[in-house]
Amino acid sequence: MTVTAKDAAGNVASFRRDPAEVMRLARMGSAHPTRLSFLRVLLRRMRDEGWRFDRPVWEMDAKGVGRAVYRAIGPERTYSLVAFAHDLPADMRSDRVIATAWDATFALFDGTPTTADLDRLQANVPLQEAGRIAESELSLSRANRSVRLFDHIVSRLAEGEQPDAAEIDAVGYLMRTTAVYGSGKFGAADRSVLAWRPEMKGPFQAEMLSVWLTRAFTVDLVEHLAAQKGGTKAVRLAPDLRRCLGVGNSTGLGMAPFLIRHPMLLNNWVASREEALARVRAQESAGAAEVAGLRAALDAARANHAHWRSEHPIQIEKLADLGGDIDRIGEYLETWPGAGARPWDALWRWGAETLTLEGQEALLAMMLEPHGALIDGLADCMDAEEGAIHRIDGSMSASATRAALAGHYGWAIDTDYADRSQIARFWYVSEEKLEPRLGERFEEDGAERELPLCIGWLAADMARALDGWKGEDSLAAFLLAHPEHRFMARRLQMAMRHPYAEIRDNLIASDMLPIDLLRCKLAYFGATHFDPRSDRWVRIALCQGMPYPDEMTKEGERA
Amino acid sequence: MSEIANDPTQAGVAVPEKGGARLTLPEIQSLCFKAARGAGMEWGLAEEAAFAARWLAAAGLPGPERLGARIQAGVGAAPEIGSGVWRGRAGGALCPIAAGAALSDRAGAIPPELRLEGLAWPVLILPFLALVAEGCGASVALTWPGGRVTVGPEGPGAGADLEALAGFAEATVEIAGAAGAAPVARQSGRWLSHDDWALLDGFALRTTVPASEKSRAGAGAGNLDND
Repeated sequence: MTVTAKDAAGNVASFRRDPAEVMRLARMGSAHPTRLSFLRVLLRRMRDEGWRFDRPVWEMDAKGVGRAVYRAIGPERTYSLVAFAHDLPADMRSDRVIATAWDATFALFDGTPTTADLDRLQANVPLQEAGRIAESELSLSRANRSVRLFDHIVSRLAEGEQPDAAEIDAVGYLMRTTAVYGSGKFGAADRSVLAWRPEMKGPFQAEMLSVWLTRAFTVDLVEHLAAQKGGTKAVRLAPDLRRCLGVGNSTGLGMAPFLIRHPMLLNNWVASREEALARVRAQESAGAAEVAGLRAALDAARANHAHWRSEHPIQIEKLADLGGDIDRIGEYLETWPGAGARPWDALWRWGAETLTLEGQEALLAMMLEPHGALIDGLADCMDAEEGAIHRIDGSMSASATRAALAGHYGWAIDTDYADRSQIARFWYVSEEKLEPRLGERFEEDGAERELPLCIGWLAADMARALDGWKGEDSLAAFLLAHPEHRFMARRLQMAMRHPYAEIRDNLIASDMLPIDLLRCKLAYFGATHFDPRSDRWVRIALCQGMPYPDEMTKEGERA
Repeated sequence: MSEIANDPTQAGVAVPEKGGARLTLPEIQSLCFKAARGAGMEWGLAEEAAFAARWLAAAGLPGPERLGARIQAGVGAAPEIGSGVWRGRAGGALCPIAAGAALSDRAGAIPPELRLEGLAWPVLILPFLALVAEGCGASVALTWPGGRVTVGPEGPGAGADLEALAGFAEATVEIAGAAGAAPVARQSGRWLSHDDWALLDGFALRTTVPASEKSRAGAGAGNLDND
C-alpha cells in the first residue's frame, strides 16, 4: 500500500460511525434498504453479467393447478425456480410458518431439472418441512395468494380490462411467502457447497433469486387464469401496473433471533454499510451527477413514503417522522452542496443533528444511492465464514478478559439484572412447532430452557464470575472451572475482532421490540413497506418497482 | 423469512416415523447442538459437541452417532489436568467434548506428549486435535490401541483405520506433535439411521418449551390469511 492510499484509508476510517451509535435497537429498527441490500446486489450482478431468463416448463390446468420452471442462465451456471401451484381451500390458508398447506410451493434447483427431477420434487416440495430435498436444491419456499387482489386482477383481465391501480397500491403483491428456507435446510445444499461460486457467495443470493423469480410466476399465473376464464377477451397485465407488484412476505419471531445468533455475519453487513457511508462522507466535493442522483433518491424516498401504509401505532408514528424528515431534507438540499468543504459530510452532520432516527437512516440510504462506483464493491464483503472462528484462545489472561468485557460489553455490565423489568422476557423454542418464541419470565413456565440470546446478561454474569481470579490466570483455567461461561467467552473473542457484531441493547428487557430486529434484517434483504401487525410479526414487500426477467437489460434499470 | 447455516432457532425438522435421511452438515450441527444441550451440557460445550459431530461427518465418520451414544450414557467427567496425563475427575470416564475443549483452549501449551486416560468415545477427540493443530500451527498425532492418525487443521490424514477408532467406547490414547498429512476428502452431509436420528432428536426436544395459550397467541400471524 502506498503512503497516499494509506492516508486516504485512515481518513475514511475517521468518518465511520461508532458501534455504540449504530448498534442500538431503536436505530436498527429504523433501517432502510440501500443499494447494498442483497436483492439489489443480485439484480445488479445479473444485469451486468447479461444473464438470460426463460420458462421452459408451464404445465398448468384450467384451475391453475400444475407446475412451472423459470430459468436464470448466467455466464457459468443455470438456476431454475421450480414452482408447484395448488388448489388450496380458503380455510387452510394460513400466514404462519407452521401452516401445512399453501397456494404455491417452490424450490430453487441447481441447473436445469429433468422430468425425473420435477417428479421427485413434486413428491417433496409441496410437503415443505415434512419433505426432503437434495443437494441439487438451493432453497425451499411457499406462498399464499393475496386473495382479494388476486381475484380482482384475474376477473378484470378476463373481462379485457386492467385492474384498479388503487387496488394494486393497497396490497402491492399477488402472493406472500411465509418462509424461504435456504442454506442446508431440509437437505438443501449449504454454503460450504456453494460459497465458492461468485454469484452465490453473497448472503441470501439463492433466496433472493427464488423470490424474484416467484414474482414472475405470480403474474404469469393470474394471466393464465384470466385467459382460462375470459378466453379471447382476456388481456395481459399492463407493464406499468405489473411493475408495481412485488412479492409479499410475512415474518414473525422465527426470524428475530437470527441477528443475535450470527454476530459475525451481522458485523459484516453493518461494517460494509458503515464503510460505504464513511467513503461518501469523506469525499472532498460533490459532483453534479451525484448531486442529481441524490435528488432522484429523495424523490424515490418521497414516492415510497406515499405508498407505505401501516395501521400499527408504532409504525404510524415512525412514518410521520419519516414524512417530516423527507420534507426537511428537501428544504436543506435547496441550498446544498454550497461552497463548503466536504459537502457530503456536512449533509450527514446536519441530518444527525436535525432528523429523527427514521430520517437519518433514510438519508443514509439516499446518500449511498448515487455512489455505486465508490461503494458497490463492498457487497463482496458481506458474507461470513462463521466456522472459521470456533476456537477459543485460552491463553488470554483473566485481566485481559476483564478488560475486553468492559470494553465491548460495558453497555451491559452495569445493568441491574435484579430489576425484574430488565429480565422480563426469555427466548425459547416451542416444543409444539419448533419455532422461536419470546416468553414472559415471571408469568410463564419454561425459563429454565431459555436460549442463550440474553447476551448482555451473560456478559455481566461472566464479568462477575471473573472477580476473584488473579490477573495472570488463564481463560483456559477459568473455563475449566466455569464451563457455563464458555459460550460467552467465545462470543467475547469474536466481538473483539468484529466491532459491529453485537446489538448493544438488553434483548430480554420488558420494553424490547422484536420488530426492531426484523426491520434491520429485512432492510438488508432489500424489503420495503415494513408493516408491523404487532410488536412481533410483520408484513413486507420485496421486488416492487424492480424489472421482471423479460425486462432485464444492461441499460437504464435501477439495480 | 430464511435462515442460513447452523441457525438452531428456525422451525426445525421433525423426525419421520420411520426411515433415516441424509442430513446436511448444518442440519447435523444444529441437531447435535440442541441434543448436547438437551442432555445437560453447558451451551458453550454444546457448541463444541456440535462442531465435533459436524467435523466428523464431513470427514465421513460417525460423529453424530457417537455423540448420541456419548450423551445417552450421561454427560461425562471434565478433565483432571496433570502433567503429561489427563483423566476424568472423580474417576469417571473422561468426556471427549470437555477434554477436547480444554485441549483446544490450550493449543499452544500442550506438553509434547500427553496421555488421555479412560477417554470415552475417543473418535470424538479428533476434531479438537484439528483445532489444536490450527492453534499451534503443526499437525498432531493420535495413537490408540492398535492405530495411529495424524490430524491437521483441515482434517484427519488419509490411510488410518478411523472406523476402528470409532468402534471404541473407551480407550486410553496419546497425543504428540507430528508432521503434516494430506486430509481425507470432505463430505457435505451424512446418512443417519432412524434410530440414531431419533435418539439425538429426543435429547434436542429437551431444549424446547411446551406450548401455552399465551405463547401461541403472540408468535405470529392470525390463523387465516384470506385478505
